[in-house]
Amino acid sequence: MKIVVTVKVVPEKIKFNKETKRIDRSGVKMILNPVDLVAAEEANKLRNSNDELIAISMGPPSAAETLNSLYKYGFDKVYLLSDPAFAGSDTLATAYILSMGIKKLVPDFDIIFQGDYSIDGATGQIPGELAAFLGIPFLTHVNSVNRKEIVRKTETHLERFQFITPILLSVSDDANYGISPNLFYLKVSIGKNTEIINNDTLKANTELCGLNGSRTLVSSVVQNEVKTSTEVIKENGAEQAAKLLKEVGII
Amino acid sequence: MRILVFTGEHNDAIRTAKEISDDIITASFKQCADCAEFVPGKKITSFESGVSFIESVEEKTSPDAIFFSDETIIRESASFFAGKRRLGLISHSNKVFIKDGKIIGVVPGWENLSAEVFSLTKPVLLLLNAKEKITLNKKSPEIIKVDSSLLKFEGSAEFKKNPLENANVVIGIGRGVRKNLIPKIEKLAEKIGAEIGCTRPVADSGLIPLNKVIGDSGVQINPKVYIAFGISGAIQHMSGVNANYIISINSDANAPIFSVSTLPILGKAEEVLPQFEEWIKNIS
Repeated sequence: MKIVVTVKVVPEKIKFNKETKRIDRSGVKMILNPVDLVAAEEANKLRNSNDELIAISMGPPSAAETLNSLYKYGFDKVYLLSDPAFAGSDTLATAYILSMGIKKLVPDFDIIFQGDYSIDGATGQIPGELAAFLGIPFLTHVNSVNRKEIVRKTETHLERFQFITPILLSVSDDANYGISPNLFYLKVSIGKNTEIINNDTLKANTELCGLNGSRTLVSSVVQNEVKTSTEVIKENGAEQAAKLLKEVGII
Repeated sequence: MRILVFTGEHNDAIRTAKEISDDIITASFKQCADCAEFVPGKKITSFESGVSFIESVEEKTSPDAIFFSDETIIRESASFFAGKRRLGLISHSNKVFIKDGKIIGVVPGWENLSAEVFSLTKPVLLLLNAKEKITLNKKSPEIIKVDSSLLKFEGSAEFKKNPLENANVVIGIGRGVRKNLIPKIEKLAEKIGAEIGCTRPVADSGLIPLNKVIGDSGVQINPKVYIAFGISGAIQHMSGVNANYIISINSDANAPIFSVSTLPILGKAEEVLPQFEEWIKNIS
């Protein structure tokens, strides 16, 4: 079985550039999106010894170094889709580029795992859009997967599904504690590097990539209204709080 | 401007649509036999039936915009629909307005910033944060069985509600609380019958279980009193708080949470907590 995990490299701390209206990634430590490591662990649990685990990411070339660490978690292959034409993609353009990458690099995939959201975007839209581009079924908020059954959690229910592959599964952030490196892979990962795939290889339609391919645009970034002149309580705050609790009948 | 609204159990998308237009058609992903203004609802259990439901109502109504309530099955259907039709989808907005004839969604972002996002395609697709519940008539739930060759729905079970949702008092723990203080706060919670919740970074660091996260990516709480220790009040957290009274303890006089607090108490959590315990002992 071939299992693909999509991984996003995200800034550890989020800075927003108010002029370009994009997330500012310069000078910030980059990490693997934590929820993607939860998705990777779900893939890892499912994996048998003859299964292949492949990571696909999209981002600037600088993301390759961060992605290298995926080999320590036992990934067999790590790809980074990177091209100037991909810059500025919204979720739809990103889903298109990822779909092109998957079709090109792992056309015979069985399951795609994704994290439910990224800590720097949190739109949660990519799974549905990617599934549409690939024409395959998908589920989000997945809590556990085995070869027979998927369990996922909606707002009110636990749902069970039988499935056939290919399928895309977006994993809930509380499904497990995330994948961890192991000693065997720490040794064999030495010297393994992320393979960067540019658009000469990918041959994605540049009209559908990056800013060109984006169907949503950020018109402006505004500061949320915050009253800063609030009068704060500097003394006997605890007393007032206790009195309030008494008043409303809590203590 | 005609707006088509798809919702399940929440009212926010309908209310937001009404703020900018009078021509609104509502369709429900849940059964809603008594709601006169609704297109006859279906109980939808998979994205495939969701997408075909969206397509059929869209075709009959030709809307300028479609608002989706951000609930699991609706978001799944909306994002697949957007991908299939190559339409822009504006994510989890909490406000919408019209500027130069364009619908703009206000998407809460980071560092207390919001992005104003518009779509280049028609109909404009927009997901709206879901907070306010609507009451549905569940008397005659007609489950529409959709045969899917790809995914077979086996069944579902309602799980135990998160006790946070219906708690009368909630104590929230933020990053301003030191690790060693957490057991003491838990003791206080026990004493006053409060549930413990936290912000996402606290849960991510492993100090408190993930199912205790309050906010956008967690639980919505509706307590009488919310006591926030060391919480700055980022919009992602506060969007999950619907409390009659907020008591907040923070050492930063400019913390955004103070502006919405009944009692904004300036001070470090470790200093205020013992006083708090003392006064509760005295008064109760």
